[in-house]
Amino acid sequence: MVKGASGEGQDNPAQSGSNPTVPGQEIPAGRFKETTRSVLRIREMAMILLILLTCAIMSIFSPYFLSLSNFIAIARGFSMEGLVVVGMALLLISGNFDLSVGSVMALSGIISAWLMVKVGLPPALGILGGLALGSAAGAINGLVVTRIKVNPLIATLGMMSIARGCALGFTSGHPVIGVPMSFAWLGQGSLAGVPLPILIMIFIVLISDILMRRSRALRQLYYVGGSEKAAKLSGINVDRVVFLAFVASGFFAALAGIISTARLTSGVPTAFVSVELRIIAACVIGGASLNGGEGTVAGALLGLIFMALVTNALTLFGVSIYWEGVVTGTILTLAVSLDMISRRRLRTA
Amino acid sequence: MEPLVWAKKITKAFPGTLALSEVDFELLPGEIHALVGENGAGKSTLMHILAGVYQADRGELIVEGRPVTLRDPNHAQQLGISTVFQELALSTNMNVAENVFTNSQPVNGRGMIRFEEMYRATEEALKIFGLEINPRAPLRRYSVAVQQIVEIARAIQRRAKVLILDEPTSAIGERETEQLMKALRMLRDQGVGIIYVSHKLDEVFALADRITVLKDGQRVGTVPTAETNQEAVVRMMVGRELDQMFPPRDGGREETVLEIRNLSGPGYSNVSLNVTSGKVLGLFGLTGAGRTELARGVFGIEPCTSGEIIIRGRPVRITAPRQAMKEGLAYIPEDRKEDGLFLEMSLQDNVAAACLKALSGLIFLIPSRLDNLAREAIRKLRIKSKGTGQNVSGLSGGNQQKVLFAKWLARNPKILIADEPTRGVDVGAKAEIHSLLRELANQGAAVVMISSELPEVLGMSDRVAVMREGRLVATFDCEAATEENVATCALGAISAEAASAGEINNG
Repeated sequence: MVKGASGEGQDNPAQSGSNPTVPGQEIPAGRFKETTRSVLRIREMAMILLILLTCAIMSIFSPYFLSLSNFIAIARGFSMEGLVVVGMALLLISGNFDLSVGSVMALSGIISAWLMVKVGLPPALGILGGLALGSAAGAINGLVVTRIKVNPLIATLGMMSIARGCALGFTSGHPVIGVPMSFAWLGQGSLAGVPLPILIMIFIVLISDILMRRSRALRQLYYVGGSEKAAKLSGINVDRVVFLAFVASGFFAALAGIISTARLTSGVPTAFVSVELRIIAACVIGGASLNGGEGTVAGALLGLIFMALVTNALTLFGVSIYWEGVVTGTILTLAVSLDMISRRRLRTA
Repeated sequence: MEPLVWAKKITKAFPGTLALSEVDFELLPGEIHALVGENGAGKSTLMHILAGVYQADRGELIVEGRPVTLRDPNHAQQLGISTVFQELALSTNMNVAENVFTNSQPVNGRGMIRFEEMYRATEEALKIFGLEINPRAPLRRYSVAVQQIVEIARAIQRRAKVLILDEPTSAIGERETEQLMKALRMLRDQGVGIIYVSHKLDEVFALADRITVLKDGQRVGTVPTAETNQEAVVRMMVGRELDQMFPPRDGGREETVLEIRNLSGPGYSNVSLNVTSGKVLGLFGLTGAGRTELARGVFGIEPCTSGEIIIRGRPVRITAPRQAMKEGLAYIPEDRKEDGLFLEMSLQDNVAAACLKALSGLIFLIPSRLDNLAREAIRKLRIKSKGTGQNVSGLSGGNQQKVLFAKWLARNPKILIADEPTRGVDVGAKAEIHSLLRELANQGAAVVMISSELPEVLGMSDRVAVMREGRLVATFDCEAATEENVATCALGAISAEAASAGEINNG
């Protein structure tokens, strides 16, 4: 899946090299070199190489690593975050971000569980309720940012606190338990041996990655992130694009929260603290920039996979999970630093 | 009398332009010396050299008899040269006195500020300007005019012997201008030398003892104000041969496609103008005359506040660029990098930005259409690039401008507004852009070209409209549009002669 998606990423820069009918202004010499260089420049390729390298090293040192069950365990571990990464990637590409995703995950999961357990709604309606709530939280973020022009840091910081406060206040801090089994299936069931959350994630990541690369509506995110002023002057409805990206972020956070609730069979108000920072880190490692205009959904997911692998490695090597932050933090800073250095080289070259 | 500042044969080059070429300038004690010239004549460069911001490539600077090299503005200040730039350097959230005494507050033995003394001194310093304001109040409570005077007071407080003022009245009203002039005359009588950079000839003639005129980086001459008049100075500023070739005018079908009636908005008021298809309308004026603001208002970027926009006989309301685009308008902004281009995106993405709809099916963009559009642009506009995938940040200024043109031409605009389309592009690309604009007009589009370059306006335009201080002051047919007529209107020195030559609608 991952390789297929990133293959499409080559499409753009490689066009100048692969098409034989080039007009006279282009320089045909060194076309092959140009093509290989542009392939290497694609962040996804670098990420895939890095992930393969990590896997190779892991398989040498740990006999448990190279097994289907371990891979499925890893994938199940990041499948919920994989959904949140999609929304965050959209926002980062448009030049925004959302700190409230962790809180919105918790609140939406709780509300879904509550609708089913306390109100007695069927699972489908419970899920819809949770999704609506998450989208509404995203919509409020979007309105505050685009209409009132509050900085996204402040707007979503506020929502982070509000959603967490609602989750805790609503439940007095106790988990909502006793969800129906048909709902729990969403998080625990599997199709053809693959856990359902993984399938959902693959489906959504695949669709959104293709749409990001090809569809008119989502390409606009790149223009907005590239230069908001130029996008506005090109007739793009900047406010609407950003607003919808916030709604999407809220929606995907809610979906992730609901699936997590199904998997744990309870809505936990204190769950998913500081998920937002991990998600942003994953997107940035995968090629997104806080300045906007750059990154892909596939790249962001690869960043998340890489971080999950590192966590898995720590577990397999028996390192305390408390040290995880040190490793992910180092990777984040290192990835961005390398990116900056290579860019400077490119510019002076 | 020994000059306070004596600049000898100052030469300064920037990449691509020779900003100053062997310019001489001297400032005597107790003199107000005005520095005038068109946009790009070099007055700002000279001012920045005297202020220590830029260093001259060649030439000598003598301050009070001693040759010096000004390292930076701080060094200039130590030598008694204080500059008030157009962008005020004030901390408006701090109080008036703290702004007058920035970095030079009176202190006691333990290094604590003696506030009472500072306030008293501030009151005294401002009294020179006839200004009685509370030195304890935060500066932001006062108008820009007061702030301007506070900044001048700061220069005086530093015991400046030379005061350089850059367009000091651009942001203040008539009454405050009077006040400022009175204060400047008083300083002059105390022996301070003042360099007054301005394009408002009325003020220059009311204030200056001598006038130095710059043109194309050279000094045309220095004249005592008493021995000259405004017309003569304008002639010195603009008199030059048309040394560029412009594409011939052969008008297409004429029809009024855009009518602006009594349009007002931020930076312009009560502008009425007709724009005709098949023609190039040159919109001339000095920087800050409201041309860009007017264009941005028509295009809906900062919507106008009152008045009417009529397109092909139908009144329209335009509050966002995409509405303007629906009416067939296109706007190529003045600030290419900031407002126009997506610098870190590919040439293809840039060219496609304004017509994504036409390039896509129901959901997906169609790669072949994108590719064709970009290749067509490269071929037709002769954009020098490594291919459709190259980032536009790597293109030269002229090629970037062509990319911007390609983006709008992809929409087949009926009305194209190009704001300073040839600023910062090389001579070759300039000529190509000129023929492109003419070709568009010949194909029936209405072209509005905003430019601060008089030769370009005169060479290109079928009709010339002149703006000054937010108002449309005159329109000329191309026969009546001479350098002197147009420049005189733009500068505000309207004589009876010029008025009779064109249709003057001074509001």
